Order: sequence, then C-alpha cells, then structure tokens
Amino acid sequence: MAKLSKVFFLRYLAISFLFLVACNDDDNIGNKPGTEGFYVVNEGGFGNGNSSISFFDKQTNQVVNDVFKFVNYRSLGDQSQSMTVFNDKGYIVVQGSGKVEVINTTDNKSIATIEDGIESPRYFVGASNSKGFVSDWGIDGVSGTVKVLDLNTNTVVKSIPVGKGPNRMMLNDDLLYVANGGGYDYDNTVVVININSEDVVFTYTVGDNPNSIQMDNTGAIWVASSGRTVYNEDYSVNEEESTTGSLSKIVGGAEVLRLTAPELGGLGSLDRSPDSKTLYFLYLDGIYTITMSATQFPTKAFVTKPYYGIAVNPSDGMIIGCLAPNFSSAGSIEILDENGVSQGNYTVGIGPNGCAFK
Amino acid sequence: MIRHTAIVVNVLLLLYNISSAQGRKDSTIVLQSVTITQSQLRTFVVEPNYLLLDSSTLSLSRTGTLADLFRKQGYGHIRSYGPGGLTAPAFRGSGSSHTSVLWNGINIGSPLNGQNDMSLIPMSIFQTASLQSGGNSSLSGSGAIGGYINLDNTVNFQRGISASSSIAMGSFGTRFIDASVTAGSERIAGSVHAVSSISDNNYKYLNSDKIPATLQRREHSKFEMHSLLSQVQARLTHRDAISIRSWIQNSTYLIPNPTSFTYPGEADESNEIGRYMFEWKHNASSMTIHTSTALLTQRLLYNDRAKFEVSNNTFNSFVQNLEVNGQINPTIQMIGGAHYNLETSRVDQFGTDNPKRNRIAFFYGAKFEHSWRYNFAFTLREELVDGNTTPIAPSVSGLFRIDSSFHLSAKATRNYRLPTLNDLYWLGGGTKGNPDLKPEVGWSEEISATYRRGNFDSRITAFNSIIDDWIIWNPSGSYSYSPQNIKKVWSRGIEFQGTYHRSFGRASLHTIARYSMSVSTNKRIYSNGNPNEIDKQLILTPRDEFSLLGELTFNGFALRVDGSYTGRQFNDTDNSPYNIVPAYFITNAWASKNFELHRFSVVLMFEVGNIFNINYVARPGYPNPGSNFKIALTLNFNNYKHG
Repeated sequence: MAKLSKVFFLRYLAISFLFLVACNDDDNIGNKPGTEGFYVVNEGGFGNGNSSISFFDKQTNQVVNDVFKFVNYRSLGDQSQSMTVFNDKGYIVVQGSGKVEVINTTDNKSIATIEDGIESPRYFVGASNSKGFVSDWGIDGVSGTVKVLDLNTNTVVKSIPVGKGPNRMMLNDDLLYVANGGGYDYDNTVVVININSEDVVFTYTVGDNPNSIQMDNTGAIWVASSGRTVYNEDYSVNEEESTTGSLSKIVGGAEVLRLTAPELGGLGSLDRSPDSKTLYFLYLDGIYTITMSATQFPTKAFVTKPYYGIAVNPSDGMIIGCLAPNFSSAGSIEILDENGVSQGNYTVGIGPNGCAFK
Repeated sequence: MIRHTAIVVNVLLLLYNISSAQGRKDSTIVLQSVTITQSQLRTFVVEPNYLLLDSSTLSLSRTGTLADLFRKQGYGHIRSYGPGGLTAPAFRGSGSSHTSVLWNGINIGSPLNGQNDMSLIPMSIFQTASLQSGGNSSLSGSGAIGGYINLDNTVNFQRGISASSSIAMGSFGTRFIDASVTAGSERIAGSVHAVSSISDNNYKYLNSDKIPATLQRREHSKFEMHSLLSQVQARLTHRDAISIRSWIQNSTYLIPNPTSFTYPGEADESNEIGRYMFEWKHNASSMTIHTSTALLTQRLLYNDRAKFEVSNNTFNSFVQNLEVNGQINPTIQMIGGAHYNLETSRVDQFGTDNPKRNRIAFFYGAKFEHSWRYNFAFTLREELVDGNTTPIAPSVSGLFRIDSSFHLSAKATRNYRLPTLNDLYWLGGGTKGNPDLKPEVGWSEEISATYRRGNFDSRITAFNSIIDDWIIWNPSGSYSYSPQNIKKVWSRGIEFQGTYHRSFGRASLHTIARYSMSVSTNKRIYSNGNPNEIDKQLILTPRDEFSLLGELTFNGFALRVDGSYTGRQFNDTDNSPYNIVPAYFITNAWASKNFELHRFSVVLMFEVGNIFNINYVARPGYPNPGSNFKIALTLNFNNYKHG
C-alpha cells in the first residue's frame, strides 16, 4: 500500500479508535453551564489540521463556526478531541497536535498553549484554581498517563501512569476516576487517582475498553465500555474472543451490575440528564437511554440516527446529537428535547464529536 | 522499412510537440535516439492534448524525480505530501488516481490503490516523456480518465559508444549521482543507466500553527532511492525488431507526520520494484504487428514503529499486449488487438485470501486522413474483468484545418476506472473493502483551436467531463469505513498554452505560457454521501492555475526561469470559508553552461528553487521548502562518427 493509502487507512484506524468519543460536559455544577450556550468540538480530518470550535448561542439560536481561528488568526490544530469549560476558561484538548489550547470563554482569545509534556491528550478535568488533569494516550497509544497541570503556569507538573488509552475522567470530591479505553490496544480498568496525593489509589475492573463515566443521583458510578473486537489472521472477526459493549454500575467500591450489549459494536458517549436520573449513550444505530434502576440492557434505541457523539445540556436537559457524515465536509448538530424530538439542526465544522457548556 | 517506421514515430512525436523548443539549441549533448518497437496506439487520437517533455527539459530535471519535474514546471495539478512524499498528478479537476503512468506503453500504476507515486520515478533513466491530458486516452484502459503520462526509453542506433555521468548536491542534504553507458551499431543498441539519490530532506518551514509562527525543521523525512535501468533494442531482420528492458529499483522513505502533530512520526516505507518487458515488432508491407510482454513486481513494506503497525504487501502484474496496425489505403489506417493483465497480490490486510484479477481487453481503432483539411479517428475498447464486462470505452476525434496556420479539433470519449484491490478486499482497522463496487465511468468532450504561425504556437481548449460513481471511502453504518460509489462529478473549463520562439544570431529566446481553469463540482451525491457537497468544488482542486517559462540560450549558456501559480483550494468538500489553502506563486531558475571539447562535453548547472522563499503548502500539514539550491555537473562522452 502506498503512502497516501497508508495515511488514508491510518486515519480510518485512528478514527475507529476515536469513534467512541464521549461528549464532555462541564463539571462546574452550580454555575448552570449551558445557560448561555455551548461549544461544539469539531475534530476535523485526520492529518488535515482543520479541527475547529463552533459556538451555539442560546439567546439567538445561532451557531458561529471556527471561533478559535477567527479571533486567534491561526488554526486550532489536528483532531480536537474534547473541550471543557472551567473557571471561565476553555480547555481544548487537541490530540493530533498534542496540546491543550486554553482560551478565555468571554472572547475566545488564546491564553496559553500547553504542549511540553503532553503527547496524545484526550480529556481535561479541572480540580481547583491551580490544578487540572489531562488524560493522555502517549505517542504509542498504549503508554497512558494522566498529566497533572498547574493552571497558574499552564504547565505539566506530573505524569501519572494509569493504563492503556485513558479517556474520559470524572471528578468526585478528591477522587478522579479515569476510564482506560485501551488506546491502540486493550484495557478493562478504571483507575482512581487521589487528586491531592496525585497517586493511583484504586483500580476497578469493568467491561472491555471503558471510555466514559458518569455518576447518577444515587451516587452510583456508571462506566460505559465499548467492548473489544478481535480479528482472526484473515481479519475476519473472532466471535469467540470478541466482547460486546457494556455498562458497569459501581457501588461501594465494587461492580454490582454489568449490562451487556447484545451485539458487537461500539458503545460510548455516556452522559446524564441534569437530575442525574437518566443516562444516555450511543450504541449501534443511535442514542439509547436507561434509568438508574435499570437491570437490563435497553432493547431499542431512544433516537435512531448515526450520531458521532452526544452531549446533554446540564442547564435544560436538551440532548445534542453530533452528526459527521464524513471527515472532509461540515457536520451538524441536532438538538433534541427530552422526548427525542428534534428542535433544530445546525451546521458546524468537520467531524463534530461533542460539546462543552458555557 | 524499420528505419522508416522509427522515423515516422519521431516525426509524429514532433508533430504533437506543441510545446517543443523548436529550433532551440540545447546546452547539453542530445543524441538522436529512437525506439524501434513503439506501440502505435497513442497515435489513434487526432490532435491529442499532447505535451512532449523534450530532452532539454528532461536534462534539466535529470537529478530529480517526476514529482520534482511537475512541481517545478507547472504541468497540470499535482496532489503532494511535500518533497519525498506521495505525489500524484491530476488533470482537469480529476482525482489523484485518474491519471495513468505508462512505461513504454505499459501501465505501471499500483493495482492496490490505483496511485502513481511520481516521487518514485527518477527522471534520468528516461530519454523521452510526454503527457496527455483529457479523457481522449480510452485506449489506455482503466484509470486514464484525467490523462496519462508516458515515460519512454530510446537508444541511439549509431556505431560507437557514449557515456554520461552526473553528480549533484543540493540543499537539505540532497545528493545525486548517476552514470549511463550506451553502445550501439546500426542493428543493435543497448544502454545501462544507474541512479542513486539520497536526501535528508530536513528543510525549514514556517509553522504558523505556533505562537508566534516558528521556523521549524522538517523531521523524519529522509529518503533514498536507487535505480538501474537496462535495455537492448535490436533489428533482427529488415522486418523484425525487438526490445528488452528491465527497471529495478529500491527505495526507502521516512514518512513524516503532518506538521500539526507535535511529534515527527516513526513510520517508513520501503519499496522493491522490478519491471521487465519484452517487445517485438514485425513490419509487413502494409501492416505491423506489435507485441509486448511485461512482468511488474512490487514489494512494499510499511512499518510504523510508534503504533507497532506493520503492513507487508506484494503485488505482481503480468501483461501481454498484442496490436495489429494496418494501412488499408493511403488515407485509412486501422488498429486492433488485445490487452491481457493478470494482477495478483498478497497483502496482510487482505487476510489469507490472495486476490487476483484477470483482465482482458479488446480494442479497435481507425484513422482517416482523407485530405489535408480533414482528419478523423475513432476507437473502441471493451475490457472483461474475471469474465465480467466493464463499460465500453469509445472515442472519436477529428480535425479541421481552416488554413495552414489555424485548425480546429474536437474529441469525445468514454472512459472508466476499475475499483482497486484495496477498494475491494481491504479488511481491518475498522475498515472494510466493498466487493460490490462498480467502476467509475467518465464521459468527456473537448474542442480546441490551434494557431501556429512563424515562431508562435498556441492552443486553447474547452473541455467538459462527467465522472460518475466516483469511489469514496466513507463511514458505512455506525462503526466502520467502506468504499462506495458516492458521487457524480462535473468538470469543465478551459486550457490555454502559447509558445514563442525567436533567435537573435547565436542567441535564442523561448517562452511558454499556460493557463487552466477547472471548475470541478459535485453534480450528484448518492446514498451515504453528504448532500451539502452538491455544486461544490472538489477538495484540494484549484480552479485556476497558470505558469510562465522563459529560456534564453547563448553560446552554450542557458538561463531558464519559470513561475507557476496555483489558485486557492478548498480543504473540505463543502467549500466552507474556514478551510482554504491559499494560492501561491512559485518561481524557479536554472542556469547552465556547456563546455565542449572534442568528444567530451561538460555541463555545469545551477538551480534555485522557490527563489522568493515563499512559504506554501499544496496539502495542509505538509509544507514545501523555501529557497533551495542545487548544483550539478554532467560529463558526457561519445565516439559516434556522427556525434
């Protein structure tokens, strides 16, 4: 296979791993994030350096595209994976370019670019005015770490080995939960980091390749795992060794329930309603939902459409579905009410995969 | 008769040479070499958009690749990942796999991905090259929807020997050396040509993604290539001639990441190429029979150490061509024959299957030259792939002369491109080939007006083409990629080329101007495509391009300056204002001096690329170098009696 073709397929390979993208919400509970609007993360085409950020203004019901480039006069970089709004700053995690862009969410102007010590970052979580965390796959996609950031100097101050392909994280009090999604390989753990000691204090075993985490209104922790597809030598799927996606429920430090999906195929983008009583996630043909008391995997989709990512607006419970028809032209977002009824469709950038709420 | 045929071939080539440096004196020794076994297929189009890259141009590009030649000369559009990266030609708004590259008439494109990587083709081993744009090349078979490039080997049928060697050094650790020896007589002639080129390719570029914009050095971009081409041509009898050629090559390219990545990459690609061909041509009184047999082998090893990914690919093509060309009467010439091609492959990602493809095509053509004023030709080609029919590919072309200096010509053709083996069989990494793909089908029409008077030569062409069932890899379902026949593309535009030559005593001036406008938009988007792309210009396809070239020669000294403009390009398929590759104008210059002493000549050449140090990219993430330099020394020797 010649070079172009290789790049071509590497892109597909990367995208296939990146597919289980979770839309990160904002952990700033109490600030009613999403009231003013939200950012849409458009990851762009692999290697094209055309990722971007769009902003949906709730007051005008309009989207402004490419807001980073518009005020900073440069491209955002390659493959923006996620964005988190924290303390009026936007932390845009640009995986392909190996950096975190920090912007002022008032005017979207760049404040800092954090590059040194970061290799293949995925998600950001802010812990305090001076401390933040970034999950990082490592250059090889398997030497995963969580980087500790000094948010005053915008530098990496520590690297904590966690597993393969650390993905979405969730902060609960002093504990940071990190889903090890496997990266370019395989993992099945969620590690817990004490944000004060900055050490791994516990490791849960869950379904294969966990990618996103949420906490419900009862304090139970839910982990979405995409499952694992194993290929035979002839690249046909090894049905025996492959595993389907799953939802793990963790209570009191132990996995008390695992809901296993019926078919192979990614499962991810786990998010929750504002009251934390309902979970939403992507699986096969669309958005699925379960309640906290669920004991069985849902049998059919809540909304059937091939979304690339979803996010739930914490301020109004609206579900934002990200549609990426391909990675060479603009995608769109569809805003759905709590019943799954479309309230509008808006064009955004290339490859929208999630949102950050302002 | 054979000599006559060879002369006719050369005359035809000269007639088609609308850009030739007529009357120029090259600054290097140019021997009158020929091939005595050339196929006549390419002559069955009346007045093709044919551009012969003359020996002078090739000699200036001797130390580079076909990619370098196109990059610096502005021939059509190229899609490039930068120096040393994959570079593919694209004519008239077509795609990167819509132009065929033919080596002495044999298509050498990869059956795996349909690409022709021009960075893997060293120019010094070819004696002539030409390119033909437009779809009037249906006899070339699958893949020539946008046009094709011919690379030919010729030898000098004169008694004696000649030898030549060049050495060059350039910016970014570029080193080049080659040597060739040719020996011949009136009946047999042969040559051996060895080439070796290495480049650290670590040029500086301005990374505007940094704050502030930072001058950085390209890393992990080194490449090296070593080639050996041998050939023998012989006149066995007064009616029979044969040619035997081999081209073996080994190359290793480090593949850099896009510049938007913070780490340079750890992938590399090695290619081992073996190409062997045998031609036989028999001349009867009013008929010629031409056969060619070729074996094309390639082993490609891709290794990405960062991702622990290794892909080992081997593919072979066995080609057997037969054509019979007859002169029915003084005004009618016909050709017919068959092309057979057996493609086999062994690719890690094809699994345990080793797919092969049997292709046989039958073709027929006729050329009518009823009068000086009218010419007309038509061709027909039908290919069977594993017994299944493909779109019939007819073409018609005609010429009407208004007077001795002005004529009109028109062409219409249907063409096609088969899905590649990757398109059909790839499996893994979340992607899957699609065995149900249909061939892409193209229709094209064009009309040209040509004016030649004195030292002035010009042609303007208006073209229109449709490529339907264009194959694109797209998300298929929720979790995998698969190729599909996604869209119908409509390309239309104009091309202009004008040349002017004038001599002033011992000095001469030669100028060329080219312009092309290609509006290439999506006409229809089929299922699983993005309807927002309808009526939008294709991604990374500039609408406007032009180039200017001027060459002044005087007493063995030559100065050549060219500039080429590439208009802005959209970097997405729905033409958003956010993803635009800016236009750029690049200027290059060569100066050479030829010193002759008895049977020796020495050519000293100095080349400056990108004189004005323009920071530009042809593809985002893959920058091109700023100003760069190369100096080359060529030593030629011959003891031909008529040298």
